[in-house]
Amino acid sequence: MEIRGGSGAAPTLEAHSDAGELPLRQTPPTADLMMPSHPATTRSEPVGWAEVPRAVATVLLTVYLVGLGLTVVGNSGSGASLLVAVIKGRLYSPWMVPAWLDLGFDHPITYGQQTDADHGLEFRVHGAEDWQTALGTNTGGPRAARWQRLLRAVVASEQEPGREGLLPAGFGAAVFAACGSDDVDLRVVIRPRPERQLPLAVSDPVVAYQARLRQLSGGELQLIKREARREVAPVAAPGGTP
Amino acid sequence: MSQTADPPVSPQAAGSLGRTWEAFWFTPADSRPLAAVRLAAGTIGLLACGSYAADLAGWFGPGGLLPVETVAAWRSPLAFSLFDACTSVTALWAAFVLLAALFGMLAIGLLTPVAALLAAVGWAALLNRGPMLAGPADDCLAVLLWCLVPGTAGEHLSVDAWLHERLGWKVARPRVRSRLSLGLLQLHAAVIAAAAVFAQLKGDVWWNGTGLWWVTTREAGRLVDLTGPLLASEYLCNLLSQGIVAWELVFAIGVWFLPTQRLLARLAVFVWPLIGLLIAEPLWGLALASLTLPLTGWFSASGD
Repeated sequence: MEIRGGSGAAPTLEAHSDAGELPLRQTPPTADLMMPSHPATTRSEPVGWAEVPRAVATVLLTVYLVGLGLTVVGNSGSGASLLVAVIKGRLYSPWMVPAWLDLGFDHPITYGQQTDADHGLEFRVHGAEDWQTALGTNTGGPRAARWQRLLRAVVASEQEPGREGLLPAGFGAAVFAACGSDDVDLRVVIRPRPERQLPLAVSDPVVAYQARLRQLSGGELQLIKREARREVAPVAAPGGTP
Repeated sequence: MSQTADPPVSPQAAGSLGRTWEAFWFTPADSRPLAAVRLAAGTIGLLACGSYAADLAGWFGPGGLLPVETVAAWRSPLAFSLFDACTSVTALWAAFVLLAALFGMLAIGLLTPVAALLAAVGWAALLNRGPMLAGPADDCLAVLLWCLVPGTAGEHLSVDAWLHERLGWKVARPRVRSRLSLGLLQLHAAVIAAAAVFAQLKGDVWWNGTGLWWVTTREAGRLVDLTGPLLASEYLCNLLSQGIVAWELVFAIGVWFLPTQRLLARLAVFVWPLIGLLIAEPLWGLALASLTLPLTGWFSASGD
């Protein structure tokens, strides 16, 4: 079956020229070409590229297409081989990352897990009862989607070596100003979603991340993450009674 | 003893591959379809900028949630952003307004080659300033902008074209540069759709037909509330969820073949935005529809 390019294709090539962009077909000069006052027309003859520019473009395209393949494979959520990661990291990432081209297009939309659910950012002066909600998290449309990504990144970063606590600590100055205190609690909550088979009901939010953030007298920032309590087995006393 | 081994690739096959490559990338092409993509990209860029505007200082300004040091430690060490240098709210807004102006210039086709390049650079810079805020639509817009850079997207439907006509400067004609842009757009449209399919097929929810349910029950950013109909009909939920996956798969493959290309491209102009609306990623849907615009045939020189 014939593989086809876009609809903008012009007539097929009939000859090659050796230098730059030159007319491929020799035609008598038309009125349009002879009269520069009426030049904007697509009835002019198409021009092709000479051998050398085509060869250069082919090399560049091949390099890019290999990079595109590597980024799609290398950015997959399932992981990729070490070889792919090394080749991509050494040869392609240095120029594709700044250009925002190191993309896997790994967009599942949802996996139906808690990490996909709605997140909310809340904070309060340390020890206070009521939590305040960050304003942007209650908005709609693409703006709300950016807030959701930010909060998911806060939670997900806790599982990524080197990134733990980085974003919550960065929130420091903004949250201190919002609370009017240098000692605050902040948390990210997740609103669980109902199963399709169950009646719609609003569940209590689950705290996915909570930390106390305070500024010490020297200006140093201290982040104390609140760990979830885990159930442990009772310690058996030597005498037999716990 | 001499042995004659068969070449790994027959000359016929190599010749055919070479001709296909040459025809796909180097056949001069009309730039009208690129003008339509340029117009769409500029508009989507303005909408995407709008989603940053309300929180710009709150995220990136002095005392914002995402200080430069935090983001620099979080993102790839290879990344950098021109927005890192904007240490005051005024400078931040100036850079942001400049970026929005570039998208505006791209949309109307003013100084198109420069605007296309600078918009791509500026958009990448904004995304690198806060990579954790970027989503599928941002990725697709970045690709869309870079694909426009090599082409001559300002030859039609643009201020540039009007000025050139007035001044008698340049002849609009089929060019290889335009063909390169069109080829890159087609390639990325297929790759993005295929990558989305692979990503979705890793999760059970797209196999068992509840994928759209989980999307719809997210309230943040939701544009259409389908929870009622999806709750009422399991078949509808399955149909829509698995229909999205099937569409992406069919599109990724069918866009390369003559009998299906134009039909799929024309459907895509409506289906991608519809999917974007359902999954609360409207700009993603619009960006994907823009990538397929040249394949519809609506903007070709012959008008067929």
